[in-house]
Amino acid sequence: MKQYTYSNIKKFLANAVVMLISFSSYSYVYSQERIDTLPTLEVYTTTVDKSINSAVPVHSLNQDKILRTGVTDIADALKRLPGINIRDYGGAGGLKTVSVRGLGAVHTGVAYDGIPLSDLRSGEIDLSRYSLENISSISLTAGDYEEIFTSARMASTPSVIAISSIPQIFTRKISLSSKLKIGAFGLINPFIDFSLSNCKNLSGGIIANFIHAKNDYPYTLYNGDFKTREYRSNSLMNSGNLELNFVWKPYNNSQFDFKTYYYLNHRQLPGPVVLYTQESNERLEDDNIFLQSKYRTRLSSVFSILGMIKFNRSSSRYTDINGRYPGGKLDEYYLQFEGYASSALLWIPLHNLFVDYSADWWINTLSSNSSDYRKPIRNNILQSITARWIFHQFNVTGRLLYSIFEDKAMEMDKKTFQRLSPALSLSYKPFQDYQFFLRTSYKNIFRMPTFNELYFSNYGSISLNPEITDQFNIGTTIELPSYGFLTSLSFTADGYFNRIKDKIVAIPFNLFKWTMSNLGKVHVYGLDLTLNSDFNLGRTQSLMLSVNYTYQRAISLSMEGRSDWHKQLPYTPLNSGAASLSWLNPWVSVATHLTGVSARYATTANLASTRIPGYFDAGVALFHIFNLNNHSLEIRADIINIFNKQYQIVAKYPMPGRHWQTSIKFNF
Amino acid sequence: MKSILKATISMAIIPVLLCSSCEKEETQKGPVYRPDFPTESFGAYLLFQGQYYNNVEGVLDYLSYSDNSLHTNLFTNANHRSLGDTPQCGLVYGSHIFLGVCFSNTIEVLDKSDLTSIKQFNLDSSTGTQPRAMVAKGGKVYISMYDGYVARLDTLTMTIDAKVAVGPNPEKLAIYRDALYVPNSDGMNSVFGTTASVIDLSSFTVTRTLEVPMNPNQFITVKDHLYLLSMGNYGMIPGQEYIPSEVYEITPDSPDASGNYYHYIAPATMIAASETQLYILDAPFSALNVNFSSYNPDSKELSPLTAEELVYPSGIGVDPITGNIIITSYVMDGAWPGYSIPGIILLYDNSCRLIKKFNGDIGPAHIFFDTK
Repeated sequence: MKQYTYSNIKKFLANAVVMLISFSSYSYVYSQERIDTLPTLEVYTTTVDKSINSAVPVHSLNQDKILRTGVTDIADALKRLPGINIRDYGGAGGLKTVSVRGLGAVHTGVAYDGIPLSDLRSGEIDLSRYSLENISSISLTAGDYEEIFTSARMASTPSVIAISSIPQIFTRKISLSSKLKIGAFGLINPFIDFSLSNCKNLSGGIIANFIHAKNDYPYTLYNGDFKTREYRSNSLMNSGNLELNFVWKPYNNSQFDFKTYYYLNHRQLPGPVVLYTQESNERLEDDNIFLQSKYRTRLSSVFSILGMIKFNRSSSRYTDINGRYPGGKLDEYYLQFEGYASSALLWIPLHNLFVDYSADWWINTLSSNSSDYRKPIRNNILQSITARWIFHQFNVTGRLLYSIFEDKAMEMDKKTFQRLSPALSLSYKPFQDYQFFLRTSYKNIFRMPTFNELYFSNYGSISLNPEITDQFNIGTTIELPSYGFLTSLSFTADGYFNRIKDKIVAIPFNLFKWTMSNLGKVHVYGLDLTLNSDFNLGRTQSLMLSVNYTYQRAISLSMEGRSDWHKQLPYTPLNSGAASLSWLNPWVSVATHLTGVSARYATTANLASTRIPGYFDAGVALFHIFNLNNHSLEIRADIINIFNKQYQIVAKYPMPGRHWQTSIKFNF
Repeated sequence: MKSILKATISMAIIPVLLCSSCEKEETQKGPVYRPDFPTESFGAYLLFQGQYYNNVEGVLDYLSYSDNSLHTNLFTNANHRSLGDTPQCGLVYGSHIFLGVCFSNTIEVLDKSDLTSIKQFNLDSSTGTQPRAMVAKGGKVYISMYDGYVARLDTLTMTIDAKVAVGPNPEKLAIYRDALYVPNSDGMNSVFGTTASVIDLSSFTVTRTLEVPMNPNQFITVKDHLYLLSMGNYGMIPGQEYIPSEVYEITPDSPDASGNYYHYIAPATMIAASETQLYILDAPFSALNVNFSSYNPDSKELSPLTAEELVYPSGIGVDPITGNIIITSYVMDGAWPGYSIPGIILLYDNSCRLIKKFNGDIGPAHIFFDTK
């Protein structure tokens, strides 16, 4: 498939860090602290390891861990989280979409600062736009969203990848952070973060990030007995984003956030590797702007409220110059708008009972220069009621989400759909004194068909119903107390069963005409394991080991006797994982890391010729932080794919071989 | 999606040229090219385009009449490299085989004796790109290029010596009365094309543009008759009336009362020609309604045929010498024809009796014959 499946991506930015408003931190509850001490920001910023105490699986990386484990880019960061299967077309400009626990990228929610992003055209979010400089943390929730005082929309996907932007600083009048990263294949990435604060209740700042990359990396092309060295071509990228932030805290437990975000990415698309020809003239231009505001306050010891609004405009232009198109050029332009409002009320009637009611409304529109589209509009109304009850060593959370969707497309009757979706999670801590948890969870949710699936005249079908998913998880987590040279050791294990009913698949009408139909069915059996440990090597040195492993058996059960019956879903490895080992020291810290994925098939029938071999990708990062008074200087150098393995994640899209990147960062 | 489907899929067959009635004319006009008048046939070549983006290579297979055996993957075996992305057309001419590989933008010239490639043309804007179909006559191979050209390849100098612009997305062309008939499908457009370009062979210029039924896909000749398969709009285009796929006789020199040069014959989704008959397959929607018949150009009679073991046809070729019929067929994959799994190859004799069934490959693109 050519890369013009690239989607235009809407981005949302809410306020500061999502983690800050966690009302679910078990550690407080277990230590029997008074609940009304919770809603101060200072308390929330203490890091509670949710991967251990959450009733649904949550795994996260923050900037500190990203540095210490040698994470190189957003795709690498995602590979360090269990259950994730990333589809990467290679290079800085290559589309990167993520499937969680075998459900497919259309079922993966991606939220930026607490507001889910949407692309109604393809239903998939391209994560390649996020560079690690811009984010303070990234977390994966595999199941119902763990926090309860949040928008109803956060509960509308089977899993959520939550990206948090850099928070505003209140502790210094002026702060400036700047970074320059350069790397192989023409990568230049300057970054600046400047903010001003009155050191009391006001803070404002600007963040700017620009990436230029040629992405003309070499690869080895095997063709029968011949082996040649080739270069990717037509893959130049210029991309940047600009953020203006403002945070005001009028009272002690109130905060107002405002963010303006602009993103643009103009890139050439190299397309798949085609033997004997290098011709590619594809281009993709993405532009996105949004304004977003968020207010939350604690009204009393029992009530808190949260309100959010957002306006988003995103456009995408795909062009290709080739004599086969009418007029010699293909020019597809898509424009999407979203208007969004959300409010939530948290009620704490008892010291161990939390109840949230959230209501969201938003509207999406899509227009295009193509006559193949019918200018659809979707109205979305979501309401959720969530209760969390904590008694003794049990923690129970239940959520009911009521969704109403109403579509209107040119010359067509209104199409409405509504559904009630439950989710339930339970965790049990058998021993008061040990961080040992047993957990289980269930979530039922659905996804609306995308605008492509419904209204694209060439294969869309307006009679489609939503795809329905069920997720069951059972797991255990352990965090051992510090013992001797072992500073920390934590382990999580989760087994899961997921299923998709009414999966939307393409059905041939004849060879030339295919149409979408709800005939698919998928079962996924899986296991996620993680291990994180720190070993103390004297006062100033430590070793850090992080491992994650995923087993995923995702099979199609659409129709008995079909070639895909009981076959593994395409591009879904049975085994995948990552490991990193870091030596932190006062001189030059070293992080080594390895990601591996077993073989996959490109076709639903798992034809032997479409097998894509598994791979390992190893890298090394060297870094050091110099502290000078209040300033710091961080220097880092990386070698990526150090064994120069030639591999591909998507057939015909080779990944870069061994290459380097280096960065220098000042914090004033 | 639409463009990819359209661009990668090709079902029908290049007309196999045999025009024995022209022989005398040719000798009076100039040199006789022996390859234009084959007298023997030894087997059939089958091109499968594979699924390039899923790592399924396109292959060239050979069905040998001598022992009714299928030899697979011949190009790669002989040349130790892949044929490329989406091979789409080919023919045997003299001592050479010409193969057009659409997305790799190549034309491979093979030595017929050992199938080694003696020349690979890398096509560009000077030649036209994306070869879709080819015919040969008078020492030249004419190739329709999907970017809107017909290129001329001289088989003596082995050079592409000329190209001529035709309509958008030309498909399977044929030679009729010293002219090339080129169907301009306009298949990448939202509304398909309705013209055919006529190229005079000696001047190699477009001399006429004919109005034809929507989505012209394949010209073919039988005796002194010219036929056209027009594929309509495949159904289901919102806001457009369904136009079925049909075969027409084209009479470029004698319009009917309303000024049309085309005359409806029958519903058809694939056509092929023997020396004396037009073969018509009609399988527009599903394997439940596959009709196969032969059409006599003189009596204008349709005779139904029964093709044993045929499930859902993906291609047809008829041997110009022996009259053998080869039909590639999808096999059922659940309730639908398995477009993305290997199909079968059915070899029938000239009275449509099944001789043998073979396992095929993915994406049958073209059948041409090993004539001499």
